[in-house]
Parts: sequence; C-alpha cells; structure tokens
Amino acid sequence: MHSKSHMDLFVWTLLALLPVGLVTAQISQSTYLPQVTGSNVAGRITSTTFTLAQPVCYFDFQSLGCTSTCEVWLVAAKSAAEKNLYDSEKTTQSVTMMTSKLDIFYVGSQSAYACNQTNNGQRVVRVGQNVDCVSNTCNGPLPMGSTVNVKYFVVNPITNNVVSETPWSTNINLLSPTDPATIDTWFGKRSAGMVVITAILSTLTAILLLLLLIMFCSTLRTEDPNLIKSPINQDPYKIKRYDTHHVRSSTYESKFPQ
Amino acid sequence: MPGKGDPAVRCFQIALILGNVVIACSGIALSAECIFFLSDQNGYYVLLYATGRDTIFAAAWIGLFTGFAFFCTSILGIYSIMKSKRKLLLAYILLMLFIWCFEVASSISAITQRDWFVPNLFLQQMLQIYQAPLPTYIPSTQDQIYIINGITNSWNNVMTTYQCCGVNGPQDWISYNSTFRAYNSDSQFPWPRQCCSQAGDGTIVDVNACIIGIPNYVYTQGCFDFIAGPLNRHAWGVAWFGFAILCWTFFVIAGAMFFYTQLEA
Repeated sequence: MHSKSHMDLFVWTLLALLPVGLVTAQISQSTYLPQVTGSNVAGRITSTTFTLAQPVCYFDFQSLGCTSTCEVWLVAAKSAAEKNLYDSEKTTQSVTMMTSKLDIFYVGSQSAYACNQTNNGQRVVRVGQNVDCVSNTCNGPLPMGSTVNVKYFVVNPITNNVVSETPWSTNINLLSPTDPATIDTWFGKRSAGMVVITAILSTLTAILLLLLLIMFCSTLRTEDPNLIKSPINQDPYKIKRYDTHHVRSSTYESKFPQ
Repeated sequence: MPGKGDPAVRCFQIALILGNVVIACSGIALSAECIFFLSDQNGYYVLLYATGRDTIFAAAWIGLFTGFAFFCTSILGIYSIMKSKRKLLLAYILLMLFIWCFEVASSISAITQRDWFVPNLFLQQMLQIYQAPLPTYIPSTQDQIYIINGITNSWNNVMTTYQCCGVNGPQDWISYNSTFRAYNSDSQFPWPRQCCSQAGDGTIVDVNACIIGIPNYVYTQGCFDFIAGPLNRHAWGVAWFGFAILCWTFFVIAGAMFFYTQLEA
C-alpha cells in the first residue's frame, strides 16, 4: 500500500513533466559561482560594464553529451523578474526563444572552456563591452548604476537547449558616477610653513619701518641742535694755540727792563 | 662718531659690505631660480591658470625682478658704505626697503598658493575640461580655447610621459562623470587611450587588455605626484629661499640704518 502510493506519485509526476521532458533533458548544475575579476583589475566594474572571470575547466563536457560543438553562453539579469524569467524558461524554451526577452550572449566555444586549453593569458569576459550593440544577444552596455546577476550556461547546439548551468552570481552593483561639480577642492588647513613665513615677514617689515622712522627722527634731532651747539661741538683738541696775552706781556714786560 | 680711520668703524663697514656681497649673490640666485620656474618645463601653467590659482607664477615673476634689483642695489650699497656718502646711503636704504616689500609679497604669495595644490583641485579640472569641445564662436572665447586645448594637451603629455593615468589612477575616469565620459562610452573608453601601456615604438600594447584594466597594460599610478611635485618644489624654493634672503637682508638694512645715523652730516 505504502509503496503503491509512492508509485502513483511517481507516475503523476512523470506525466506532469512529460511535455518538459520532450523539450529538454535535466540541466546539470555546475558548482562554479560566477565572479568579478580581482581588485587588481582597474576596470572590473564600471558604470556600464563589468569583467567576469571565466569558468575554465568547470564544465564536464563529456558527461553533458557534448562532442565538440557545445557553446558557453552568459545571461545577465538586471532584475529579479529577469532572473525568474530565465529560471522558468530554461527548461521549456530553446535559447533562441529566450534571447528575445533576456540579455543572453555567446561567450565562447566548448574548447575555450575545456581543461586542456592552452591559452595562459587572462581569461575574462567583459559584460557590456559592445557599444554598437542593438539587440539582446550582442553584449551591449548595461544601464548605468544597475544591479546585475549573471550565470554561465552550456548550450548544445544540436538541440538548442541548456544542458548545464552555474548558479546565479551574487549581486553586481555597477557604479553610479559622481558629478565632478561636487568635488571639494578646498585644501582644509593652512600649512605650518605658510603661517611661519607670513608671521615672521610681517613682523620684520613692521620692525624695519619702525627703524626707518627712528632713523629719521634721530638724524633730525642731531641736525637741529647742531646749529645751536656748534661752538660747543668744536673739538677742544683741535685748538692748536691759545695766546694768553696778559701772561706773555707780563713776562715780556718783566723781561724788558733788564 | 669716531673718525673714518677708527678700526671699529672699519670693521662695521666691512661687515656691511660683506652683507651686501651676500645679498648680491643670493639675489642673482633667486633670479635664476625664478627664471627656471617660469620657464615651465612641463607646461603646467595652463593647469593652474584654469583653476585661477596661478598666483604662484606671479610670485615667481616678482621674485625674478626683486632678485635682480637686490643685486643692483647691493652694489650701490657697497659703494655708498665704502665712500660713507650720506645721501647715497639714504637712497640705498630706501631702495632696499622698497625691494624688501616686493620680495615679502613674492615669498608670502608663493607659500600661500602652495597650499592649494591638492589632488581634488586637479581632479575636478581634469574631469570638467579634458577633451571638452571647443566653443564655436570667436573671438570672445579665445581664453576658453586656450584652456581646453592647453589642459587636454598637458594631460595627454603627462600621462604618456610619466606613464600615469588620471589624478589618483584610472578609477578617476570611471567613478566620476566627466566631459570625457559625455563623449565616450564607458564600454569603449573607460579611460583615455593615453592611459594604455605603450610598446617601445609608441603603439599601444593591447587595447582590449587596457580597456579591462589589467595591470601592465594600463598605467595604474596616478599623475598627481608628477604634476604637483615640480610645482610644489618650485613654489617651496621661491618662498623659502626668498624668506632666507629677507632674513639676511633685514640685518643688513638695519645695520645700514645705524651706520647712516652715525655719519656726519
């Protein structure tokens, strides 16, 4: 009895999933979480683009039934609604159907993501790269300042269905550029050197002007009394001889009678 | 005052003459330094002119002339002190005071303007003016044409010459709106091509790697040090060398004033 009800449930589930099963097989989940490149990459996030690392050697293409033609695609969802749209349609719709509603684009062939690929350069995908893009499938610039979630998925071109996918990335917040007019160009605080030079030079200038005043005053004072004091000012040493008439005459007179 | 032959007077005269010789030498040196600054080897004048903070160049011009004036006047001073001529000495003192005031102005404005050279000053200007379209009507906008062309060329020159990008780094170009951004998509030109590393022959090593911003393909260093560095050094020289000369000249002028008061009318 117990096992029968289980059986019934299984049958009903199978019946319910039948139309889906006709379109696609089950999607295998990769463990790789899509991530923005490291902080040493200057343009990892701009206002309309971001740069993702590539999941090289994360998809097991052999077990996915890919011979050599599988493709790796990326979906960039700009809102929760777009995420849900992808999740609801990934099993029911072909990729070409989904591209009419979502930002989905091709990011490389199976060989570029295989383990044995030999390219040792930086492996990145720049989302929002193509400025000339007009459709959903050509990786055009994203809306400025938007929040984006991405996931990689593998498409088998024979059936045109999703065969494997990664989880959604965490939120990637694009930059909202600041208006340059808001930049504060004030330097904040005067430098010590400026204070020192200004203070000292002002003081010295004031002192010099004061000295000039003193100089003029002192020369005027010494020049003015000069006229009055001129006899006194004469150097007493400069008088060579002073005739004392009476003394000389008295001497002469005293000598004269003899 | 004792007579001319007095050894004390002789010593004082010699001291004053030596002081003037030093002023003459340093005056010429100040002139030379200001000429070097004014020659503006890197073409940064326009960067300051556009911000209205170009008084540093005015300070250097004043310094250039006062340096030479110090040189000439100190020779007059030496002559008047040797001959002990009162009228000449008075002329010397007044001239020196006159030049002193100008040199004070030069030194103070140089050190005051130096404070303005902060990264944001150049950042705002770069974002607003770099690659701005030229105004179409002439001649009322000659000044703007000079500023736009000058700033665009200066920045292109600095970034390629010193292998730097923006004021603080390539992030400046993506974290702010700018005139450059208004005319160039973030996707195609996150920063100007001048930020891209160049090979020996001047070609860009890898444009795509540069756009992504991978180290060694884009210059990650900011240009602030290469712009403010020379400006700051020169302004420092004009201000502090001027200040040193002024301190020395203060004592010489004061000595000359004292000598003047002691001379016989």
